[in-house]
Amino acid sequence: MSSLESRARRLLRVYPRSYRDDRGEEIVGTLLEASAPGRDWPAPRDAWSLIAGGLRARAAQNRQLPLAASLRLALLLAASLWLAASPLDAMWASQSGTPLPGLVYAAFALLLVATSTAPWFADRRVTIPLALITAVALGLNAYYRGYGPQFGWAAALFVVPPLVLAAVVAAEPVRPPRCWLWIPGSAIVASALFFIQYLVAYSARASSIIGIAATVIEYGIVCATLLWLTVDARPAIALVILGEWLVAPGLAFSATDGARLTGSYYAALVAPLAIGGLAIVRLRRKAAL
Amino acid sequence: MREPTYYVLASLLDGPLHGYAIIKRSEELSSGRVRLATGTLYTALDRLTAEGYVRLVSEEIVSGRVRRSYGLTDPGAAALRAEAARMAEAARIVTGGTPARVSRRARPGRVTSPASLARPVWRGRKARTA
Repeated sequence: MSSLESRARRLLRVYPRSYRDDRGEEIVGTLLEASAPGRDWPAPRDAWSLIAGGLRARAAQNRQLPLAASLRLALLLAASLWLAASPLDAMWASQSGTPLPGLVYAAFALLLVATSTAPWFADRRVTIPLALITAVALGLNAYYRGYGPQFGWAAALFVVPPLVLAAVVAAEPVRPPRCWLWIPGSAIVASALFFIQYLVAYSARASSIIGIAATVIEYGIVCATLLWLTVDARPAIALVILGEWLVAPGLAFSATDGARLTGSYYAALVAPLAIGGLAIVRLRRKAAL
Repeated sequence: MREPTYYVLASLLDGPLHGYAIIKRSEELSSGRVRLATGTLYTALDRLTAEGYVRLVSEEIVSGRVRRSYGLTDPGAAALRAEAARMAEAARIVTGGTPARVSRRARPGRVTSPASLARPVWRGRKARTA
């Protein structure tokens, strides 16, 4: 195999696998014929056209599902991300009274990781019970240890995402794409780092390094998801839903307290909606090959 | 219809061609103006196949690789003729030709050299029909 051919094949990896299996050989053949003799690298315009063509093919593939199914999968990813990113942190921070034994936190962490990744790996007969157990555990913890009777309604905030996950898994026969798995995976790593940050709080330096690493991962997820809008809008929609879920409690507390809401809260509420609108427009657009 | 799409369809007027032959023929027909990159060609072929303008005609193995030939369908030929007529009409505004002359120019056999139609007005991305 010539170096030109092996480089052309590497470029072809931008295309989805099914497309590559069908057209890959033909495209490589045409590229080799169209390239000047003795060339080791594909011409820049050929390389760029293959990258652009591959991204278009991926985008078209990701728009094959009906809009409702795509939105359900986005909702599933949002619930998975919330479980991966949020509750353990909140449990630790909101503890009132005596701290729970470390073993309980470990069990909680395991339950959250299992529930957030179950839609990709497990059958719905496993995922749904797991999500229900998580909902009960998080709800009880939030009610009795977090907010108390005065803000008892806030427990619902912790119950909704796992229930949403269970409902979507029950309703949607299509599993989320494997290529999304890095998103909750990275969120779990960031979450674990933040948790470790609490544990090593006595060491300011270690704490700040770990905190920075976790923050970089979180911003990395957001940036990568926005870039991913070019081929798949659903992860961005999931992030928007997650964003609203994270902002909503603050708004609700402020409203309950009778405090005035600041502009930044409104901005946090509205900005994700704009991104979500853009993502849905992209999702609805017919594949423009 | 965008210019590369027009020339891809025009290149198939004389019969089915495979990928590289389409690239070469488009370049010839456009006097070197349209040089299709490989990825652009297959993106266009995918779209034109989905729209029913082009169809897969034959498949053979050459040097161990699949080589597919594509041909123009009747709707594809009709769309090409309509686009040629539209360009001729647009050119007439500038050159002041008579409608009869325009229709002769718009014949499928004659559209291979639209440079003679003064400056063709290509539709932009948003307005493209194929």
